[in-house]
Amino acid sequence: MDMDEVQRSIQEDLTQLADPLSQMEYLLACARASQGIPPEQRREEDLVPSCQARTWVITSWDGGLLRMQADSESFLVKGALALLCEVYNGRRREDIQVFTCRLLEDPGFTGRLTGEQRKGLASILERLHEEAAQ
Amino acid sequence: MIDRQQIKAALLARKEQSAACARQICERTYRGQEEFALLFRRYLCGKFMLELEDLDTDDFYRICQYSVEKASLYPPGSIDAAEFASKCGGATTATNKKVLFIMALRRELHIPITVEEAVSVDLLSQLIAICYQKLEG
Repeated sequence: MDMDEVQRSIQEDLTQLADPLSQMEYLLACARASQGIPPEQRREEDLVPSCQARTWVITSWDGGLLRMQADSESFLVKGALALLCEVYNGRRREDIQVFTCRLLEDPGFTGRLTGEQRKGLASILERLHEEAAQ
Repeated sequence: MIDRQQIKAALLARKEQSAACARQICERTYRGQEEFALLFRRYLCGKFMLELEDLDTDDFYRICQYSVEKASLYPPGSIDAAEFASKCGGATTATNKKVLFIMALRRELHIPITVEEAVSVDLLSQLIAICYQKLEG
């Protein structure tokens, strides 16, 4: 699936689950299934500055493809990051540059997150798009 | 890669379980408070992805906490501790669940529980008694 298809599929899942409690359980289950970043690999320099909960994002580019790992002490943020990783991980720079992420505007995705957490996720996406443009 | 289809299927199955309990509550098929309490507990289990045997405490917040811990496979107490320590600027995930459950009672069971009542509820048995009284009182 391309980035748009993955995004659409996540939004369809959330729409199908419909109520806020089920959508929250979905994020929690995604957090649990996420590999995250092992504690020994979490470095200060990988902390996302605008996130209040300690949140780590590690990116690298391998043959023009994004490699992304993410984790957070907020379990809901961790679930949201797991889904963003599914959308962005392994994608080409040019695909990321033309992609518009609409998940942060989806109430099913961000409805249980605080304003600060949403800002933190937005700053991570901004960074990914900036890196893709370099 | 996360198996989202499996996650969604499990959630939809539990959603159906709680919807079936909600229908029985709304249609008043229970006989007496004891049967209502069991239906209510099954409804809660469907919502929180728990089993009846998981409800081994009457502390409602602890049940909310436990459901988050079970969903995350984290050790008891560790999620709240991490979230408090992270100064995340919002409620804990367990508090969020408590609020969402109260909202679901209003929306799906049509139980007009007030904000004051919701805040004052500490025990699951208290919540069940309030809901029963509102439906039958």
